[in-house]
Amino acid sequence: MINNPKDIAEILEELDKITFEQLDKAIKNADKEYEQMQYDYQEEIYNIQSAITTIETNSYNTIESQQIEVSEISDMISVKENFISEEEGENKIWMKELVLVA
Amino acid sequence: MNEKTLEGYHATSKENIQTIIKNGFIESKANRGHWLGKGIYLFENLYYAIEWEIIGVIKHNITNYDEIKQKCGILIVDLDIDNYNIIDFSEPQGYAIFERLLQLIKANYSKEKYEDILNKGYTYIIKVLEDLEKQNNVKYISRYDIICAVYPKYFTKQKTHLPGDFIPCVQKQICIKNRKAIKNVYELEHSDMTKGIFDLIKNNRGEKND
Repeated sequence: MINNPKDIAEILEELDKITFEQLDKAIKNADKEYEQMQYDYQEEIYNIQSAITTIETNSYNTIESQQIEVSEISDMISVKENFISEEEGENKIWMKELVLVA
Repeated sequence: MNEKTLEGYHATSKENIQTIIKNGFIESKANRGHWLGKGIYLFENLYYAIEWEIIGVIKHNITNYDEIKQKCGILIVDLDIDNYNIIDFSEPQGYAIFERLLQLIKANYSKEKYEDILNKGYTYIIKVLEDLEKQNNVKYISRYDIICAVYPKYFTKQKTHLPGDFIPCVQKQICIKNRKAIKNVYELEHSDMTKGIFDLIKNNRGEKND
């Protein structure tokens, strides 16, 4: 047993002295604090949800930007391929001309 | 050395462990999870500290014990209850304080208001008591450095996950109001015992995972 009965009896005696006005004031203040606590709690939930949404949006944007980057690279590759094949074609014509000259 | 000591367990992330040992605890704000008001919260039973590691610290289920060892730790906190005042609300003498205040409320308010207050729970009643203390300059509960109470199961949906109600298992929490009551803080070494409790929790949560 942790509780000291004498101590508790003293507290109970003090509690009996509380008037309705004092109790009502305490309850009104506790109501206000409780409301604030509920509001803070809701705000905390909202903040966590916003953080989750931000993370989701960021990861979506990252994926999207990576996809854009990949498609840009792929465009560049196909442009280069076209350029190479054009260059190859020109080389072939040039080689043909050389053969003909010879 | 005949000082009486009460031992409590505090689960937290691995990085917080050394900070707490070095700099001490940071008091939790009074909110729904901190139902006994401002203070430092401990579990009296190691089982709940380990369960808190799983459901509270990491915020998701852990199936691997090695993962818990890497990410979480448990602090053992020794409290000096010889030189500091302690109250246990789960003992009839301690609960009498709540009972007396509730009787007073019941006698002065409508049934609806009384039930509304009951639904708001311990945190609300403690706030009423704290306010009355300020008004009357009487220490009803702030004379205590440590408050113990059984965590009401209905408080959140997060239950104890213990199967069955054959013999009710209680989760007692300790709220340190005065940090001077802390004698020692040290880290609990993970062992076969903690691993055994981890397996038991896993088993219990699997059987009744509500």
